[in-house]
Amino acid sequence: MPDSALALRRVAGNSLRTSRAAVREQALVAGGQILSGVGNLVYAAAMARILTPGGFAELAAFLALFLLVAVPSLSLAAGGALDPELARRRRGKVLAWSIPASLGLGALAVVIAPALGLSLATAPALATTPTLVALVELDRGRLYGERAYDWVTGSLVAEPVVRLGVGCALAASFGVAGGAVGVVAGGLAGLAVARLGHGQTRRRTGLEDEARDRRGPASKAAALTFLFLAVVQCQDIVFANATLSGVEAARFAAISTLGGAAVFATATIPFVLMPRAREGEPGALGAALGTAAVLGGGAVIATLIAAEPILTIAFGGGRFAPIAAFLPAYMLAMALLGLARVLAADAVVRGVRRVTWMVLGAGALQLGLLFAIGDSAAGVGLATLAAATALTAALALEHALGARPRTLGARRHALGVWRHALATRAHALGSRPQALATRPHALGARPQALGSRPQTLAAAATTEAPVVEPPTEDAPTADQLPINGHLPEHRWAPEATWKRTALILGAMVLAAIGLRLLAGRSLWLDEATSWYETQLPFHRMMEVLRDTDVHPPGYFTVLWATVREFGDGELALRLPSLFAATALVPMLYVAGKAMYDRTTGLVAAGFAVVAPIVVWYAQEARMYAQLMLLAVVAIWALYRALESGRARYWLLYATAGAALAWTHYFALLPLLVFEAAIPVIAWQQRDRDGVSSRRLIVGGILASLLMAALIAPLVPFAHHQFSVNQSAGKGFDAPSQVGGAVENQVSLYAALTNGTWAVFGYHSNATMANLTALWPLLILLALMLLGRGRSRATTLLLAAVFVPTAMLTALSLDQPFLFEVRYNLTAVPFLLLLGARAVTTWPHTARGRAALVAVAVAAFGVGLADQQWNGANPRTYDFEGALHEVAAKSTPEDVLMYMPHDLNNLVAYYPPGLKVRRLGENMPAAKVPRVFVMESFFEDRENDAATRQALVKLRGERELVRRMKFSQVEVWEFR
Amino acid sequence: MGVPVSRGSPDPDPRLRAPDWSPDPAPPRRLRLLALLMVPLALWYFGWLLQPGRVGVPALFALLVAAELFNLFQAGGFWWTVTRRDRRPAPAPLAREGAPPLVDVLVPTYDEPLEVLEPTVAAALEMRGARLVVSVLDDGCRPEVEAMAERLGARYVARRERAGAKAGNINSALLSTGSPFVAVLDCDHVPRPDFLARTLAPMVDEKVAFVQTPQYYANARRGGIAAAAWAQQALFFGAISRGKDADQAMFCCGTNVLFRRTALESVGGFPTDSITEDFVLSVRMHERGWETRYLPEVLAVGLGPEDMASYVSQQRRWARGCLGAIGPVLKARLPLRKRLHYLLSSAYFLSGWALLVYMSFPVIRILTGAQPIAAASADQFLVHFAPYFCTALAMVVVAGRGAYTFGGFALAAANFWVQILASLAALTRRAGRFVVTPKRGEGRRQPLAVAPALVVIAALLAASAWGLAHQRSPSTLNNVAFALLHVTVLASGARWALMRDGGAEAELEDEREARPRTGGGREARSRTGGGREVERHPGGDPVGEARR
Repeated sequence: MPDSALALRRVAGNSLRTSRAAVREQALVAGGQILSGVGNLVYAAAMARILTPGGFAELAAFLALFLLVAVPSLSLAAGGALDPELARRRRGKVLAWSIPASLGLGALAVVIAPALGLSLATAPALATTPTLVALVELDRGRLYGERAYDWVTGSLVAEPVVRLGVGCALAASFGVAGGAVGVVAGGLAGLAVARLGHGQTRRRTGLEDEARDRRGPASKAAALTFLFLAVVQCQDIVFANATLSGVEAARFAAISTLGGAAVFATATIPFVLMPRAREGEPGALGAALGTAAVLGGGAVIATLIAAEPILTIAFGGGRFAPIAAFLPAYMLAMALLGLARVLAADAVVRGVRRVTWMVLGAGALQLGLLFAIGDSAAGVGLATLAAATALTAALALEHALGARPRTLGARRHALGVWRHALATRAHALGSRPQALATRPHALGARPQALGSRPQTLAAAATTEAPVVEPPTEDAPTADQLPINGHLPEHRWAPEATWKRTALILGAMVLAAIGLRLLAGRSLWLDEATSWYETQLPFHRMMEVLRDTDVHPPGYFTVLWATVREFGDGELALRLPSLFAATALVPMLYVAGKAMYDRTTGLVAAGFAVVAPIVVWYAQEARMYAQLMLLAVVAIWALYRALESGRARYWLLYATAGAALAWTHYFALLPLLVFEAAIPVIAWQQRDRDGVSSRRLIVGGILASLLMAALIAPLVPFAHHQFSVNQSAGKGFDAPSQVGGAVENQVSLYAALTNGTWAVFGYHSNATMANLTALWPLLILLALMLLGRGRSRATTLLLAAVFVPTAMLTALSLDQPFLFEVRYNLTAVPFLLLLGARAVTTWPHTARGRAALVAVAVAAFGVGLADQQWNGANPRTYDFEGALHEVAAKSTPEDVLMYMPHDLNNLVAYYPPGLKVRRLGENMPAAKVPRVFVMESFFEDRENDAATRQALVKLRGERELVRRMKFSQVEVWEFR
Repeated sequence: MGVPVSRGSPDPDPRLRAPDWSPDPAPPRRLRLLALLMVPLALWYFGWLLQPGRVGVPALFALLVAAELFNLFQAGGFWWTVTRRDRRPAPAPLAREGAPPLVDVLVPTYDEPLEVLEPTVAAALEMRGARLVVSVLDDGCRPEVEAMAERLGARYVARRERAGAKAGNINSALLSTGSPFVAVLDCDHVPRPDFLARTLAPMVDEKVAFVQTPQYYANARRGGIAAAAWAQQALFFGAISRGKDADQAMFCCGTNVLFRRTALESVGGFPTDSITEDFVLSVRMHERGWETRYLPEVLAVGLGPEDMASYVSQQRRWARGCLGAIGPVLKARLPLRKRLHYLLSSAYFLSGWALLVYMSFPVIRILTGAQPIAAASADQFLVHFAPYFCTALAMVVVAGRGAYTFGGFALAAANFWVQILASLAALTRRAGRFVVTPKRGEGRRQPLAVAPALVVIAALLAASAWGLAHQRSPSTLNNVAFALLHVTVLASGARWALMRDGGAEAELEDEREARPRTGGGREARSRTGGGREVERHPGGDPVGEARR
């Protein structure tokens, strides 16, 4: 085996070992933190039993104040974790600041104790708080920095243990004051353990000392960053308490408390990461992110499964039920904040100072959103979710695009890479003396690149083992090598890292799957139709499609096969859509990279992960997700074909185009644009270098012929469908969904609504009215387009968005029901690509680009959360919930009557376990014990009137037991 | 495109590189088609707006209509100007027989650094096609400038009394020189060797008083304010100047210009009673029947303002001078067409008032509920306004060949207050002061230079926050969105004042980062190409409608 392969294997092995060790450390400390949290809960529970209700309330207020001081103090732990030596030296300074703060807080407590619901007895304990928590966090920070994780864990565990023991004993005798002293005693115990741990374990390297001077500012940045993170974490509850009504404030306090627990569990992760990241150890960040994802994701999943029970157990009563649906979203925000803390820690260690501004910006965004939408508990939570999403996205982007070896360890690693590259170059030059001579020159230049310690680094370079490190993906190519000892200014690392790209895309795909699975909903009418049709034998299904449906058979064929393989459960029915909407993520990357560049591709893929409309149709057993995927495949293949003239791309274009037509008839509109683009681009190409016009024309004609041949068998099928529908007086089936006050009206405002749906997803009518009112921002967009260049890719995408839209609008003038966003869904991925291009090129600085990407992702995130969890979304039909409720309350002798009659497939899919019949058919006999009436699609006035009539009749004959409301579904129970 | 790679390396003089902009004409058919389209669209919008039932609060409605009509006047003037085509034959190259003509090249200077001045003088001495005398007109009386002139072989002229600023300096030099042609170059504009050969050709026509060429900002490549200011210049020296030239209404822009001495003498030299002496000089020359020519070729490369204070100082001078010239223009004995061109150019500097009106509407609506328009749904408004607005923007894009950027627009918008102050000064007849535009940025933040814009931003944000805190109805959100539109535009224009080096440094960094990623595609190139509006007046404010 060649030496380089051995070395590569050795590096990989080291990396794996490091990762495992990092995971173990994270697990150890996180375990201690969770134990500490559990201890706190036990302490609170014990106090609730020991103290009187009034006393417990007072202690709770004291604990809240304690926490309020403790959360910002975590910033000291961050600074200490980054530079333990600096933390040691600054201990006196911290004391000098915290003691007056303590005295001030004590004095303030005496003055405002009654207003806070505290007695004077707690004032002394309160007065010790700032100093105590500052010292505890500072010393724990030092322990993190010294990687003495066992001592950190000990300190974390000691605090609640002592608090519980001392607190219970004293509270029993001295009441609230005793409990408060127990809290202080716990803090002292944590401090004592932390102090004991110092000097026990030191693993600092020699280079670490050399870097100390440069880490001073970084430590301050770390402290500041974590301080701002604490603000992002806490300001929503402060805002909610200050502005919301009592009930709403209490609801938000409930979800905030649970969310706080989730954040608490991940609080230690960045501090454990920092020392390893400081050394540039591979795998440390992955371990930290993994731990944070597991803990945060666990919390999200737990609340998804059992939000209401959790709220009931934690806070009792049913008054928090209205906010239960939103709890997972808030947990998601907290989980994202946990990830953001890890990414921020990593960025701070890498010396990325702008991370502080990014966190500050997220705080400002959150504050702005709080003022804008924070008029309810859910609104406040959404503001935090948006800020957390934006921050996480910005930090992730910063990491993806900006990560470069700035830490000493990484620089040392990079030095080896450079040396290897130089050695390779020398080898390539035949080991000529002048080539070798560049080596010491370049190495001598390293100090200049590394900072101001040439002698140290020169020594480091000479003391390193003279092994030739294997080439890595990050290794610069020959033209990227240092010139005259200077590092090239541009970033070479991300350009060559296909592994990094694969990792990011893999994470995106996983996130996409998770998001699409988590945000589930009941089947609705059209999906039930899909289910019904796929239950038939294949030939029968085709007959039914030809005679009664309005769609081509492509999607149904795929679904038919899927159902045969995986059954007809909700997930199985939606599997093709889930697959297509997930595959859209990497496909957008591929298209974005081909049409623009890697960054655009990645951002477009990231958009597809959270784009509300993509998630929506990933959860619908209809053909729209396939439509989006195939549209991207077709445009990418066409673009590549026009660029390279290669036959395989023409072939792929023809196939994807035909598949589009077989999936949805309106896909013919973008296909017309694609076809028109071929001669136009060929004409533009006539005087340019590259592929000849003639070759493009020939390729285009052959591809078009092939596509036509593939579509041809569909023509008689479509003609038959059209004839049958026309003769039945149906024409194309009118949409039966609602989604806004402008439904079925062709107007500019309605077009704006459709555009809003396409970008930000489906929302309640009130939200849509508000969103559409923001149209002046389109003027801004138009102005910002001034002076922007226009590439061939952009022109093609714009045409593929707007020409089909215009054609569909023109058709809608005659048939208004065609004015519906889902018939133009091919535009959505194209818009995502254009949006990605805009946010990655319009801002002039990397900071601006990151901010804009973060804002876009946050907007998508908020849109997604509102779409999925806001019960007022008029496109959400909870047939499953309604029918399950009926099943739970009925016996087999009972009867369910439903309106409209199209619900027959849904009633068959979610069998309620009783006799069912259409409303308007025979009314149940008097001997039937109970009659249930289910109605949906209330906007159909004829059906609604029939339902009202039947209800009046039933009221005359029977007693109305209850009326149950679900999303867009109502059920009446008579006996 | 030579952008310095290392911050540590000395910055090469960008004026010594070839310009990357060419004032090629836009496709005339496309322009005329758009202009034709604009007429019914403008009628469609104004026909809807001016219906009696549309009046909300009368005073606000009157303000809105005034602002809209002003914009229509400017926009209409722009469409009219850019569709004009010069049908005169291109000037033939100068005949080679006989002695080359004599030309005095005047380079006025006051306090500009030597490193700015020296390349200009050196390049002026290298010009071909004429027998020339280069005079450095130093109002700063600096020995080092005298030494430099002597070293290079130029004539050094210093005045004892510095009356009349730049105009006085040139007039003084005219007395001590005698060539039949006089070229004027600002001290930062480095001429190409063929400057005189190209500008002398149109002078064959004895009626031509001067030949003006574009003022190209080489430092636009550095981004920031210089790029945004160039975006404004590019539109003016592209489509607008071509259109003016077609009507023989091109005016002198003070530099990169070749005069006929007899023409100058016929109007008594440069007027010293105006701070835009070149503009007033042109009016006087046109009054006396002289013709003027615009040569759309970059024959000299200069430097644009690099910091906000410089830009504000430049704009203030132009605004005060051009607005002060409205009266003389109205009184001047000029053909209607020429008078209209001058009026369009002067009146451009009233755009700040229109912007102020538009910015005040969302604040008034949020705080008081009063609004200018009544009995109109958003859908109705959009149906009438959107086609007009979008086509107007398309016109700017096509006419400017994509050179006009959002940065140029935002920079002009953020300095709306300059135009308001200038118009007040013109109204009260307060005398303006000639201030030399600094050629180098101060390299520090200049928040005071955009303080009014920052105040307006704060007011818009405060009104928005107040509105959202009290009511979150669609109408409030609509006005908040308008407020945010203005905030974004103003902040985009003002941000450079809050950055060191007028934002140039940050954008350089960006360019460095972007280069390997974008591969210098068409989009990437267009970002450095710059674009925009008016140096002296764009003959219209084509995008003013957006400032609602």
